[in-house]
Amino acid sequence: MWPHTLKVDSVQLEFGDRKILQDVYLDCKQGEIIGLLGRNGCGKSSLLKIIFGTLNPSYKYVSINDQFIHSGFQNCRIAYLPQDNYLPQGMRVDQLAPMVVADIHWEQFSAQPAYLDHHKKQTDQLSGGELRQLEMLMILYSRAEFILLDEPFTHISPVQSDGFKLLLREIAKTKGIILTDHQYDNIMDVSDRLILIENGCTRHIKHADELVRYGYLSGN
Amino acid sequence: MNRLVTLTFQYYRLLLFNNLLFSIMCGALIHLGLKGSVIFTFSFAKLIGFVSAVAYHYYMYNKSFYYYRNAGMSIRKLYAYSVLIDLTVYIIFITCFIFLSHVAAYIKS
Repeated sequence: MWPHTLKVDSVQLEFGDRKILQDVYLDCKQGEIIGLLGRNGCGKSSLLKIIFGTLNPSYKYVSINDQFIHSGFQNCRIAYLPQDNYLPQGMRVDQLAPMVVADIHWEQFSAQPAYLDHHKKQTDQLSGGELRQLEMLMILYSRAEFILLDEPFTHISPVQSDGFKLLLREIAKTKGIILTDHQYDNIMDVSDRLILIENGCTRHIKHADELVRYGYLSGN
Repeated sequence: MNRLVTLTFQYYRLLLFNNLLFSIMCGALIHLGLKGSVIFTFSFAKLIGFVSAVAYHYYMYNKSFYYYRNAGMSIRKLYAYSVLIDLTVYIIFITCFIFLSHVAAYIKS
């Protein structure tokens, strides 16, 4: 039954007395890109980790096609690009990539210049930007039906960002993508829908002016 | 299945250096301090060495666990299979050691 729908509802997350997330609802269908915006510390990364299943909140409801899923990473249904580099050090790219990249996407993945140029190198021989590109590509070409990207535009140049946005649109034809980044112009360019996290709640943004009203943009 | 085996060996390989280092260090300390039986020293050092290597790796490189999770592997399984590999290697090693000790004793006598 295509497209599958990922739903996230009633997430409650506190750190001590501080409530981070309390009234969260979002959904994402395969074929669409959701941009997640919010100020520093508002809980964007935490929300992605909760969906992926590596952070346990007080309460959450995450489902795919209305079937509750405890951890998104089980059965590779959801893939997650964390903010920091995640590939183990001291191992070659061509040993690591086949473990994450789906067999059906291998041909497209292995034709990417970032892979062709660096596949024989160890991860600690790559620059921050090269490593980030490879990590991103591995997640995009993974077996997952839904992709979560935490700050994918950080550490990559504007030219690479443009290429990456095209690739995101291509991948989104078959997968659902939720991404967050402080480079909001890139997020607005590539997203079909925008969601702002403000005071622990999700606001579904219909028009860019609302970002000013909610205090995310200055309006100047 | 193939992925599971490859991922477990990849993880075990990353632990190997620290595992050996911590095991040798611990073994040397026990041997100097307790002067106990060789098998007990080996076994205890092995246990401490493996646990220390896992703890060190988790502390230093905890972000790399997203690699295994994105590959569909749970961390519990990763630990469990690594312990199995480590135990197998240890049993082979200790069996060879005991066998060679007996051979050496026999040749001496």
